[in-house]
Amino acid sequence: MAVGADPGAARRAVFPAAARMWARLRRLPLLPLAVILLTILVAVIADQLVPYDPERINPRYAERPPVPFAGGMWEFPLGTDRLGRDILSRIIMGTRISLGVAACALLLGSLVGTALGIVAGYRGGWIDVIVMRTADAFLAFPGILIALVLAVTIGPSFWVVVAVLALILWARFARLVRSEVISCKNRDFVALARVAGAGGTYIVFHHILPNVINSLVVLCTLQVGWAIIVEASLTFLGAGIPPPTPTWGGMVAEGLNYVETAWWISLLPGLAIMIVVFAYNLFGDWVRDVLDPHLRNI
Amino acid sequence: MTTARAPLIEARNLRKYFRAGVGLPFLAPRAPVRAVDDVSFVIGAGETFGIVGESGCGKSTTAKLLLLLERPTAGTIHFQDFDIAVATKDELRRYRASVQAVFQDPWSSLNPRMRVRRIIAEPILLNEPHRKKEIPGVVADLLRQVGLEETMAGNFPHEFSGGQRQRVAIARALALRPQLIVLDEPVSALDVSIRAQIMNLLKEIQDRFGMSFLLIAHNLATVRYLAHRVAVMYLGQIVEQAEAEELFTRPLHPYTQALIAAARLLRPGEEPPPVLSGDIPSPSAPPPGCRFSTRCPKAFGRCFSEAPAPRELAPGHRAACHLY
Repeated sequence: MAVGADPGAARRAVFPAAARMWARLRRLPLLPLAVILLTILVAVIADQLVPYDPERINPRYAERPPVPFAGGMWEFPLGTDRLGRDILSRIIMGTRISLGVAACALLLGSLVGTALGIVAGYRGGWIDVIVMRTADAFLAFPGILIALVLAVTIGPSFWVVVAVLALILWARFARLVRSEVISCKNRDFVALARVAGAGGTYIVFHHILPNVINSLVVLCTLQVGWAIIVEASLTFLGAGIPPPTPTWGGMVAEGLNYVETAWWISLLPGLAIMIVVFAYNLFGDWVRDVLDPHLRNI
Repeated sequence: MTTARAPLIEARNLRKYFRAGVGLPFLAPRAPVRAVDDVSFVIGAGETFGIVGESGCGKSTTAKLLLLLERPTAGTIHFQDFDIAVATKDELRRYRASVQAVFQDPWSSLNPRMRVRRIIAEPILLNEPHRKKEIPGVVADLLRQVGLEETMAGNFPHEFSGGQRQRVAIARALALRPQLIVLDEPVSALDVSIRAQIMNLLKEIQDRFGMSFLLIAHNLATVRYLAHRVAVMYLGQIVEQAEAEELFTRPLHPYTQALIAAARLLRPGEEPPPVLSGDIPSPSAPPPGCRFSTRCPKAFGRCFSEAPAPRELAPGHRAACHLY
């Protein structure tokens, strides 16, 4: 019997949605997911993980290369920098800064952007015009410039970087959410909710937000990589998180002058940035394909 | 053959003009689109009132006016003993609970993120929150009424076919036991094989609960099968209105005649009927005189200058045409 031959076929016929979900799960990008989970874990327990205080200076062991190279020693598996600080410890601590900045900026940017996007899309009219033109202005404004100005005027800090990222991120979120809200609010189920006597707040929370949340998750995951890169760039330029706090961007900058003799100082944190950003982008692509295939263009 | 039914809802001289585009300074304002232009009708209790017409004739806008999704530019809607325009909050609440809707596209009318239970119960939750405890029983009962399994209450809309989704939409419309259900093209998005099932379901429901239907459709067969009385709309106006059988067997207005002729199946070898030429004129600049005069095969001098008023030409049969 056909059913007996393939028990899975019967199950798929009964639960087509479950079967589809399983097919997507099987394409889960395991390597990027592993990198993401590992970095999150490292960021959380960085204090327990670091072999040395990442800010401790130790001139005796300055400019040691990573282990496989001549002069490398197992005490410092990834080598040391100009001041003899352990690069492994600094990369581990830098993970916390990079992910922390990205998480704070995304939280702030997505909350503000979603709220404004919903108001603009749902209410329309002059509110929409004001919110969206402001968003356009923020998107057009060079973020690096804002960061440099802020760094000069109020001094560089963790929260300045978060603020600069959020200033750009909210506009991206507002734009996406607004367009989703507009396409959603014209669907018949919203009209039917109004026929049944629902008010604006009810419709936003029960009909519009649940239909926008997927796109929000997708945009969030895709923006993590961007936020990490921008934080690293700002710090690299000296407009980000000030030394001696270990950050990936800052480490790349510190090693820049010695690339010919001590390449590892810049290269290793650079690799860390690359691997993590790659992982988030690949994972974000997968999340987008699963949750919201029509968002291919963001 | 006039209706002896008590009137449930009456629309008098309804108009809905949409402003066209954004008004720019220094430019002459563009003429508004007259989607609904002086439409009057009565729907009796327990009656199905059909409105037919080509797309763009204003039939869906009329439905939206009754559903309070659009505000009329002019005219009144009377429901039972009150006028919607000046109704108190309480009367409006009563009206909203008494008038429900089923729309054309069952893929758009069910929120993809809500379970069927919640979709069906939403009108109850919004209007009669004190009945929250009864909801599982009520939903199960409604699902049975529309021919679905009670166990489907926990499913999401994407797990249903088009016909099943339309049944869910009907169950939701029934949740408050309304007195009027506005059916805006309820079967035109469905496969032909499913249409008859849904039409029969609608008939059964009306027999069982005795509510009125306002049926909006472009398909004459649907209207003929379901409606007791029919109005034909053209360019924002009702050109003819009569009992369904009367209208389909003795159409008076040339537009109605053309619609019926165009929808009839031809026998092999039969000459096709003359087809209406030209497009519907723009609803923002309707022709002077009779609106149908630009396409009417029987138009004569007066038709191009003087708009015909609707007159009762036979008992219960009104048409707006200079021919009679």
